Amino acid sequence: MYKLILNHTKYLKEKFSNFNTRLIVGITLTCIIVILGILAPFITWYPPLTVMQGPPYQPPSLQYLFGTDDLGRDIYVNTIYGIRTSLIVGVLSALIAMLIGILLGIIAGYYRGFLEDLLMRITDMAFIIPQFLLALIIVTTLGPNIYNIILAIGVTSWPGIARMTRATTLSVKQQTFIEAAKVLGLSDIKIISSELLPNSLPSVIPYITLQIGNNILVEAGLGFLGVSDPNVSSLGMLLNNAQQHILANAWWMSVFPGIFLSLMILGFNLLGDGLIEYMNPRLRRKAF
Amino acid sequence: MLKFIIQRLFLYIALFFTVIIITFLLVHLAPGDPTYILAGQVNDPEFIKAVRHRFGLDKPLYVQLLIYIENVLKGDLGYSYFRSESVSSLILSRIPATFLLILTAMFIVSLVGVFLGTIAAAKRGWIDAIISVLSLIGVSIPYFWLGLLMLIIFSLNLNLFPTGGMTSLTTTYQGIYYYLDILYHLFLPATTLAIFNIAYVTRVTRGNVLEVLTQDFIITARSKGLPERRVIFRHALRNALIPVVTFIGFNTGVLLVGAILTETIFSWPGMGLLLYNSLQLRDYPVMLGIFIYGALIIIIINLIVDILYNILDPRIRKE
Amino acid sequence: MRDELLRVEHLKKYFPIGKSFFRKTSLYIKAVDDVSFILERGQILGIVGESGSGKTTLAKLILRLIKPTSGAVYFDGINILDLSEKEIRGLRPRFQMIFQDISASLNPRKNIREILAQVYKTHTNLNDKEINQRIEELLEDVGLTPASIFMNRYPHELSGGQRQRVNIARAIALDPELIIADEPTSALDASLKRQIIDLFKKIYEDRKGRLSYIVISHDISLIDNITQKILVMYSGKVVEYGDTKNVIRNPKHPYTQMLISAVPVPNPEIEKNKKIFVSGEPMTLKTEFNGCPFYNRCLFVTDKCKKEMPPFIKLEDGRYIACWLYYDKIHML
Repeated sequence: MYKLILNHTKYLKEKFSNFNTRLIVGITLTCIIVILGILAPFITWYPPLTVMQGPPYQPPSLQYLFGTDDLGRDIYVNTIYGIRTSLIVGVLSALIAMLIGILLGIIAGYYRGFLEDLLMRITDMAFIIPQFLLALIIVTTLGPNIYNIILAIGVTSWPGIARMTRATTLSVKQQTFIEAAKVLGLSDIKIISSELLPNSLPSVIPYITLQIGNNILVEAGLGFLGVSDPNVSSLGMLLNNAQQHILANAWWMSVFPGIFLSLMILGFNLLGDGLIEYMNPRLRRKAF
Repeated sequence: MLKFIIQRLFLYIALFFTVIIITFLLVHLAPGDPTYILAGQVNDPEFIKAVRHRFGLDKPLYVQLLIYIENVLKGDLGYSYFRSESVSSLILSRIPATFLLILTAMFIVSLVGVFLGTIAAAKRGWIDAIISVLSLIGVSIPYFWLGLLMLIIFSLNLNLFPTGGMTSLTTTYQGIYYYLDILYHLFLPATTLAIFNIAYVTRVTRGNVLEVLTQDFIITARSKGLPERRVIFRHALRNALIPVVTFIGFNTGVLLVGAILTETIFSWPGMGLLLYNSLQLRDYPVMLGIFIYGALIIIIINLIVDILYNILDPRIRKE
Repeated sequence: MRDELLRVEHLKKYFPIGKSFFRKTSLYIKAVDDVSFILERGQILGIVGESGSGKTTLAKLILRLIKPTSGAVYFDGINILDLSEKEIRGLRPRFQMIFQDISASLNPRKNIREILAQVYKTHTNLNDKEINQRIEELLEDVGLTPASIFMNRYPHELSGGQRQRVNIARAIALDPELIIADEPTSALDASLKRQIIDLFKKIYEDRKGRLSYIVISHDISLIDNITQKILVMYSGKVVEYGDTKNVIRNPKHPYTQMLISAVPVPNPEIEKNKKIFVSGEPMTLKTEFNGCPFYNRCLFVTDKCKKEMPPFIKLEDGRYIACWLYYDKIHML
């Protein structure tokens, strides 16, 4: 009887001792950012994008926390709403990428053979074309609204996830309980959904997190080139604005949106890295 | 060896065709008349008629596709109304500037990245930790923001560097001063582009050097009695060359994108700035053209690196 | 007429080496090379051999987890290699396997109840309540009591012996006619070995006549204890086949002799005087080689052994053997 309890506590202890610095910082940062995004309407007092909220080019003050831009828009409000946009785009596009990527990864990893070769070749080639350019072209031809942006980024970020899923599928598939499931007469679909996925998905999740970080960067990049939904505030767009009026030497226009953007990406990167390390303590690097 | 090249060539050609087809599809998936995409948002009916003719827009879809592919292969990507130049020649004229930027940046990256990575691996301890942290941050910061910051700090406020362009607007220099002027303008953008990539190269070099240090170093040091520094650097260089080549080769896409964004900030007259301006003008044929040319460049470089790697690799194994 | 449950005919499985999408190869590893035998209903067959002799591959071939290069497998008269995916899934409850890796056989993310329930859900129409009841009975049958506690446990919370019991429970859940156990006791310590062997015996007795076993092991004492017939494999080929008692007390094939000699006997007198002659390692058969795979370790090797594989012949005492030494005896299979 003890043995059972001992085994169980040992198991739990192991799970928690793997928590490392990156993971903790990552979780904290991401949580803060997400909360900011969710609470956007509550921590701001007027809607974003409203022009002439105040006099233009005001440096940060008590009234305008982050200052105002060339058209008198409040940078603080726009930044907070921009965070919201980034999060929505980042997460939704990652979901789309997940659907495509996981599906392809599982097919490649489980069925192997010619199909696997083909899919992996396609994935390799997809990696070569820069995601950003492709997304840019898609959005500009289809029209710069938020749905197209989410779609474009989502549809261009599947290769990484596909590769990862295939790798984990391969390693899980080798395990005996999958064979046992076959011997027991489970159908392929049942095996994939019931035995394979629950064991391989957890390993893919950190990469999805990293992908969210990457997608946020892409969204901001698009916004920076002027490609964003005019009805929505975007951090990239704020930076674009800052760049166009750079000669006005209004540092607050670039610094604040940029800091939050960086923190957001940093948060997701740390979270992703932390999760990877958490799941693979053997791969722990020697310094940092 | 040859089989390998043919295999890759086949794949890359297929990839290029896919790119062309995707572009074609997007042109037709766009809301509204595809003519506007192929011509740009233009109001001149004559021009539009010419475009319709050139791309055969009255004909059935698959014929249009064939015409398009044929055009692309011939180098005809359309005509830019706004700039009165063929898209191809427009883009080609901008490529040198972009390459200059990228090459300079890569030069900086290789030097600094390898140096930092080696130090991090050799000294370990707190230097290593700091460098690692900086690397991590470097990877997370969007380079366009970084560029803006650098512009603000170094250019506007400290007046150390010009705010943009490749050459000074006010005076024209001759001879060597012309090149120095360019270099002067090149500094900020190249550094900005470099920083992001330094982080990556540093990490990789550090990893490689660490590996080497645990093997050769000890034996070599003992047998030769050479000063520590020399041994480390000699080994570091040899081992760093391969990943840097790989990095440049396989990350061309990332570099190109970085270049595009950086050019936008510093008004560096390369492909990136062209893209940005075209976006604003809604000069679609140029945008699509840049996409296709960009893809082509990346594919070619990838192919070269693939072959290079294949050559380098077996030689390394013999070592 | 004998009541045949399983018939294996000239089963071969060759694995190609170095094959890729662009190259075909002519180099193969002969994992299983022309194996034939018959298993009767209610019989217990033991398959012995060193690691790499092809035992596990043979098991997987019988269960159609992998497809053979050539040969046939008949289960209860049905040629299982001809069946479609769906048909064979329907047949699965009748022949089950207990795998070598005790822990990896269980999905770490499911608790015992879920693992066992899956079997019932796939092949029966019982509702949840009935399934839970069956699981309780099953767990008690294999000695995991109180069942209610074990049902909610996860594999990592169980000891090795307990996990093996779960594997066994899962295998007998749908009343199979054949169970193949791959190294059922190798990973367990001595006392557990005893318990699991007893469990196997109990299950066999309970279903007298209805259940057959194939026990794969390199542990001769286990085979001696539990099996009635024995199949000795070496490098993918069968070298000796007969009644367990006969083969173990009086091994005839040089390889079998080597195997048996290596087993420690509890009697110090015999142990001291025993001559152990164990040497070398089995080689992996490649395409070009046509002789007896044991030739490089055999004490009685002749020239002929290297060139030609001896045929499978029947000896007077009923056993079959593949060795040139006994070729002078007449009966051929």
